[in-house]
Amino acid sequence: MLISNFKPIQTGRTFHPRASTNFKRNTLSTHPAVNIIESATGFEIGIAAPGLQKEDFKVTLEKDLLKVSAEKTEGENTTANEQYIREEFSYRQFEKTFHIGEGVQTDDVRVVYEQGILKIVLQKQAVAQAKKIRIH
Amino acid sequence: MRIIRNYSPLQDAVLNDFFNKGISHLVGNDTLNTNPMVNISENPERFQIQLAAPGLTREDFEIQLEKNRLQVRSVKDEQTLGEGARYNRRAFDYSNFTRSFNLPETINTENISANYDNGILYINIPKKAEVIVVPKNIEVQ
Repeated sequence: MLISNFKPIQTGRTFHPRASTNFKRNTLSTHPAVNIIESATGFEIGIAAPGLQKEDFKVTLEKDLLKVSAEKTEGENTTANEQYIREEFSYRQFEKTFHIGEGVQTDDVRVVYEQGILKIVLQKQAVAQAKKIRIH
Repeated sequence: MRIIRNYSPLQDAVLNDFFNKGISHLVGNDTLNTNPMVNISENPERFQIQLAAPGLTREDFEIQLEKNRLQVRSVKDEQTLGEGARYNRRAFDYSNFTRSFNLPETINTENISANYDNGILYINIPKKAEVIVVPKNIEVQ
């Protein structure tokens, strides 16, 4: 299910000629971008999925697979008169899977959603952290 | 016998986004994205620009209108990672971008408003009163 969320841009949704812009991009992004930061003690995965609510996300860890899915529950925030004349992003529904290697604590996973980024914080196991050895 | 080794079991292999790697390579998701994506919608009364720039705060944006050119910028100080921390993967960073829009003649430049919510900057651009089409019911005589 790698590309289940892929929706090619729909025809008839080009930008309105009365509001011309200098856009070059014409593909619809449904696959949020991911940053991963590693520190001495753990990892922070940041998924850029703006426009959702905390409740729209589901994060599960099963063995070594961390699954993140989102589905926007709240209805479209538009009236019948509203129509898209340009659509470059839509993160209403997506799924991402990460492989978690040995050395990561699976019982200590913290998830927050702030400013449109879903942050997943994982801790390294103590043995995997670099140890400082004192010289006597 | 080698007693001391450079033991680094946790290097890049620990967090390996391997399921997404294939498709990411195909669609180029692994490149650093610094230019926010934009949706634009329209109803009879106004246009709305939705700019996907997660990870910022309201104060990081600068919106300027010069004649009919609307320029949106973000000016956020570079965030430094903690000591010893580094990006294993970096696919987005919207802390420093500029995007411009040429607005049509039919908009009312006086009442443009903006708000930042859940990572999206919403810019509401009302239309001039004379171009707002109000459907009129015509009575049958």
